[in-house]
Amino acid sequence: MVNKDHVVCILLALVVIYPILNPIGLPILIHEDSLRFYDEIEALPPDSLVLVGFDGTYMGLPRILPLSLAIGNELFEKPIKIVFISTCAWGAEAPTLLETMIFPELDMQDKVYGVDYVNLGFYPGQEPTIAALAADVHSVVGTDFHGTSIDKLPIMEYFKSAKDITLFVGIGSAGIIDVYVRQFNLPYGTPEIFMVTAMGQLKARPYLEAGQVRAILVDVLGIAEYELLIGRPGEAIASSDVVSTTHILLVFIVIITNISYYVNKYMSKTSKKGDE
Amino acid sequence: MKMDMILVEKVIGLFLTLFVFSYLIKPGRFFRIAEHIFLGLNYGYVLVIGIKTFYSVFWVNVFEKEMYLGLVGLFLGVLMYSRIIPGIPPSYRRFPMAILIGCSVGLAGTMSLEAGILQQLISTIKLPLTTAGLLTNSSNLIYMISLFTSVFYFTFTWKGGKVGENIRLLGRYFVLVMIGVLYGNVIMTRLPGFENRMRVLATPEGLVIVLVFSVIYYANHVYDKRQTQERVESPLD
Repeated sequence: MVNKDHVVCILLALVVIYPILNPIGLPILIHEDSLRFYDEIEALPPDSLVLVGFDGTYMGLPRILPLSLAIGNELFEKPIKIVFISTCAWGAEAPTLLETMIFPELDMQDKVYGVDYVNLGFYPGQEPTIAALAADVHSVVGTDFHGTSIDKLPIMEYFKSAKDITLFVGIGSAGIIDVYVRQFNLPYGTPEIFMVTAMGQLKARPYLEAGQVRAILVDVLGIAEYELLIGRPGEAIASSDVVSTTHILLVFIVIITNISYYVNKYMSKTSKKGDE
Repeated sequence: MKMDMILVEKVIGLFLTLFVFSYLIKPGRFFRIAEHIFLGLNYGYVLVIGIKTFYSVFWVNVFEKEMYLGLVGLFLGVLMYSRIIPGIPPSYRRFPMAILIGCSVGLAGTMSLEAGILQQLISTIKLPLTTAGLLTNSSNLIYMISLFTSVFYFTFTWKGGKVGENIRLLGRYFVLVMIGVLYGNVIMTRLPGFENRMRVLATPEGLVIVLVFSVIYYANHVYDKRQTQERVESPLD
């Protein structure tokens, strides 16, 4: 007897490998969500302060990397200040990820560390920590990720509390979107945009509809759309074919399993009648 | 040198991927190796980050910025570890836990009403009224029906007769669709990781490693089978 799980796994592997070896090039439509996300970043005035809540993990790297490169290159092109911080429970590895895999790949222009951008590192505690950061950053953060006192970093003169933030960009931190809305948006009116996973959009969408979050970018397809909008094709565009073929397979499996359910039901009914 | 390191990383990554994928056949030795490596690295890494955070949040603030209130935090933190010392009453560790949870609940609770309930309710009522267009209106119709029926589904105290039963059934279908969407999204969220691994496996080096691993896996399988057979043939007593 063939194991059904193994058949599904093999089929899944095939529909993932096929477009990798033979790219199909299915068209990518730009959705309103991605357009709003793009507009929020493009509308940043000079000398803005952008706080990037970076909570990427090594496990989520295939999604986080293309997005971080796309957003990072776009932000570093602008005459703005960028502060990176990790606050989620799963964000312990995020600052190292940022230093080893994201920063070396970015086109930093003429930006100087400590003056134009800084990596503050990981601050656990979630709700109380984020509330304290929003009220007074200097009372919580002692040093940056490299152990340099923040008093020696000129960029931190511009960042005292949530009031100084022009835009908050959440990458990998959509799991605590409610905390950021409660502690940043509600008391200080900080505009927030988030990159969310397909699963995370269900949590994020009510905040988007209520206007508490300005824009969301949904998973790989959203990142592919963003790459198209900024004119920097990257890994996400290459992955969009895989997303489409996998969706087709899953829909096909759902239809087949439903048909087999009703066929089995009908067969068992007719066999019961036959027995009688 | 950098190229060598990239190759080593790639080979280790590929082997560990195959170790984990071996779970699909049988949760055996290879899966456990990958599991233990992952857990060991993770705990070691978190410990290092913990020490770094302790320095940044506590040491610098207390001893360099002279914010001595941080010593209270240190005292409460140490109390949490009293669990590992035998003889210390449990109330010592309950005290800092109560403060921590109390602070979190207090901070979240005051804002939750506004951010999580009031604003969401307003937007739920406003959404169908503020959007226009034929397609949006038909979506609004589905939205309103799904909202009403799925809320009605959870009114268990009032039966509502035949009509109520039908509304409840429709609500149940909407809830099921929602759960289906949620489950589908869980799978799609994991897809980029799977695709990334497949992208690496579908290279010439990847195929060589798949071949090598298949041989090792088969040899291990034969060895395990022989061991089991020997144990069956010569029982200890």
